[in-house]
Amino acid sequence: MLVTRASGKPALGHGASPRLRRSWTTAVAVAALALGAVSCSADEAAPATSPMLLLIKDKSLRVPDSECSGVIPLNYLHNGADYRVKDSSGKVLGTGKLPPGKAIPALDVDFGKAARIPTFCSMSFQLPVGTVGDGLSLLIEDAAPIALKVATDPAGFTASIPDNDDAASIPLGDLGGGR
Amino acid sequence: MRSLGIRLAAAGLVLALVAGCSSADAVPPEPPVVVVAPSEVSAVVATDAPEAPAFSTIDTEGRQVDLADLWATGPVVLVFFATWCSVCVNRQSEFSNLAERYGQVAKVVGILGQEKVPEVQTYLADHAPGFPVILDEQLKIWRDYAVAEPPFVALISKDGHLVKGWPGGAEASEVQAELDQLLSL
Repeated sequence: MLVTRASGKPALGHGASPRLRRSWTTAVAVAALALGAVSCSADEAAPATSPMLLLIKDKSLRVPDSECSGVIPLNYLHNGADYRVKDSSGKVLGTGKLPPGKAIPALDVDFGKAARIPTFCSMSFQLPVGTVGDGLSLLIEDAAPIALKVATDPAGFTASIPDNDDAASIPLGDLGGGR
Repeated sequence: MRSLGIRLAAAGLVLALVAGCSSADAVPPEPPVVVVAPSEVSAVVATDAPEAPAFSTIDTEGRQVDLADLWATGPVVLVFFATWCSVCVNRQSEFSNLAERYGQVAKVVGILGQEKVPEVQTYLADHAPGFPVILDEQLKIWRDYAVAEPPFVALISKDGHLVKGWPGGAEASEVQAELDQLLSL
């Protein structure tokens, strides 16, 4: 029989009692569950967010679905650009970084086999604002604030640059989540 | 029998947790073998192509970069890129290899647009491009070459003729095929 050096008691081999083995395996299972709870709980603690669609209406020639950013003079709208969300009183509700954009057709026109067609650059991401409401604005880098429009299906926000007319008509769900 | 079942269940649970909550160790890729182009080649002058806009400025190392001096000896590849552009980042090593391959007979120059200096420093430290990089903060060179957004690649023949532009970027292999034609390789 294998004996542990410190206690002189049987190790958990064939000679250990069934009761001791059960205790050991139960302890392992409990420890594993605890480990899992600790290592996998980060996602559950994520702050509340709302879906956001930012439509950059630059009508640039791109391959549809390719990664994009705003073209000059909207080139400050790019992956990694810092943004802030403010309420009507100027209070900062959250901050973040823009994701890469995705090129979507700007016109309902069949361009045949053309690889590059007029596109807008859309950015879909989660805004760090839990409650959807009016009066919020998006500030990207040092540019002028962009008023956010409330979307209802699903609840979230939209905005478009340079003007703010079209984005609200595009359902957030059509463009999926952030890339 | 029952204790064996409990033990197997516990082991399976541990394995499942490990598999679900950690990424597998990635095997580092082997560095590509770069074949260096011969140093004695004749470069084609693309006289039927328009003249490329010239510039003279300093790179991020403080060295003078005169485009006309570069194209006087052979073709030049201009790589317009950005530190935040993931397509550019993914192709960085390809263009570093291209610069190494044609080191003696063709030049590669990287041109960044409006960037934050710390991010440029981090990018250069992380990626070590292996070719001169220019910070075009006023976007003058970008506008001269009609670059709307990164990535964009321009190929200039010996003596300064703009042979081809790739808006949206290009694989280094595409550029290499064009370069080989210009160098009669």
